[in-house]
Amino acid sequence: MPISSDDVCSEQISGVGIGLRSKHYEYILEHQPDIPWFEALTDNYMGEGGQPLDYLEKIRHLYPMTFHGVGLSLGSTDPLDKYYLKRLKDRISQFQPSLVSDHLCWTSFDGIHGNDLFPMPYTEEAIKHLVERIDQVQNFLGHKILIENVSSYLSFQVDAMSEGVFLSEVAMRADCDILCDVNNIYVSAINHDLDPIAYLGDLPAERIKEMHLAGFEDQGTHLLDTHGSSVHEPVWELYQQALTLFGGIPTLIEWDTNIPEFEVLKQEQRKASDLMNSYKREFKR
Amino acid sequence: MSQTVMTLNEIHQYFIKGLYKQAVNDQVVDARLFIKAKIKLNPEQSLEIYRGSVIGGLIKALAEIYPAVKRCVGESFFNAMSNQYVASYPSRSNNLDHYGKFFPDFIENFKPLTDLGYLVDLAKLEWLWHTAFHALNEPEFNAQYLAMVDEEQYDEIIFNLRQSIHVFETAYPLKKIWQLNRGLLKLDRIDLNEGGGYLIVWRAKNFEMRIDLLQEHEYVLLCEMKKGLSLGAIFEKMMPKFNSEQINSGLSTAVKNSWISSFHLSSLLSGPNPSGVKALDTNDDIR
Repeated sequence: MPISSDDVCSEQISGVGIGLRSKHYEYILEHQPDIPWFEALTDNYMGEGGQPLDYLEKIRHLYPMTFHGVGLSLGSTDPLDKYYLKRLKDRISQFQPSLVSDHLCWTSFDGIHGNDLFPMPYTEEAIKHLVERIDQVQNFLGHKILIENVSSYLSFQVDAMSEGVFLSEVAMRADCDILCDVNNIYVSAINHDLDPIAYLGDLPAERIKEMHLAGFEDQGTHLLDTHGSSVHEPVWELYQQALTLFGGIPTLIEWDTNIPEFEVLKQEQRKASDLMNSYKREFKR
Repeated sequence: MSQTVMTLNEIHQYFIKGLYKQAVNDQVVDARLFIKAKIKLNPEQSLEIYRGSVIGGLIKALAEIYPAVKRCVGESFFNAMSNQYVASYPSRSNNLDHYGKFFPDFIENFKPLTDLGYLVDLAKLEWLWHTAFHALNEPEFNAQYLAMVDEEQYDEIIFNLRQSIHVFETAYPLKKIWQLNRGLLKLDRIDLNEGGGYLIVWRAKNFEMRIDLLQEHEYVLLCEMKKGLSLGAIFEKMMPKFNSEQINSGLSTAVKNSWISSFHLSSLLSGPNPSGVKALDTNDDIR
């Protein structure tokens, strides 16, 4: 069933947003910083009730919002979690996010969960499986979702194509959109000795509806996607390439571990905004 | 098994079993079967990155739910104990808020801690705190509804307690232990033999999380309410030990603190309503 991405919420977002974290709830409510939108980690608001939902409601009254989840487990061979989907639909109805995203990954097998984002094998079987599940999710929610590329530290023997081609095929066949995580592309490219610019080139520009920026850690043998530091210089450079290819689409600053004061995030947000604005002036979509 | 014919399902099985160091077909998972070698990492080392991330994530989740237990036993001991817990209790939910429910039972049977019974109660208390924190938001109890009940129907009243309250009996001075290990109390030492008591873990107005001491009659009253007994049945059950003044005082405290979310009349559950009194709920509008 063709689904319009406009169906999620009529409120459109633009510019550079910041990932909403509990540490900053009070600051945001008190200071109402000049940020165009916030992204909520959906899974933090899946409880029955309590203060997190109350904060989310108050902040939603002040700002446009997007939803970003880690729990759909789109690539898993376990059945889709109907309880999770129903709760997600309820939260979408309540908070009216402009975009709803999850990951191109799997998180469980036979009911055992990793609560982490595991990479898919890049095979035709996996494409068909994902397309079917994304179709089920989009039909249930009644609107398009965005799927995000994850950082990976291994590849499978059965891989038959590049991640960029795999992601594009899934998005096109499932008719969903893409959340392009620029940091994850860089991390995976270094870990797998690939060209990150070629990866960007594999993606269908018309389906990129959001980008993510975050920090990683160099572990010596590999880069680890920690979301625990400033955006690294090579990722800023790759982001500029992405802006050239995709235009100034909404971009998010993510910071999940060792979360700093809000002002530090604001500095990162300003830097991304400046880059986006300079490309917007040159880019005619 | 040939490497090239592994299905998606088989890859997921080998990956997750290998991650939790569980066997597939009675054999230890060989990561080389399905993971490509990298220049700097062999397949097992690649899988180990995910193992570290998953186990580390679950231990972090336990540490966030059980901070006082962690402070009592120290970080390195907590991490080692949690590591064993994760191996015995892999996550069964995509919601990390659900993880760690069996940690108190695990501590109870964890041999190095068998002499530290208070730790089990402390862990139980922290789990109740965690569940109360995330419990359903319910409207404030409106005592005006009680005034609408005919006096002869008082015995039929069945109170519903909020989902965000839990009562707890302990043999240890648990509130002090909890406060000390959450940095809320400064004491040089606690006498574990000074006796225990009754506690209520609850979420008050404005989402304030509280742990308060209860009198025994308050504890028993709330336990009986939680069982769904009618007021008449509660009085009958409690009267041999407690007097009506104590029970009424407990009721008054429960109403004042809004531990009650709503009530209904038992006669309205099982047949025609002889009095014509409508079942009352705080969700109803007062007209």
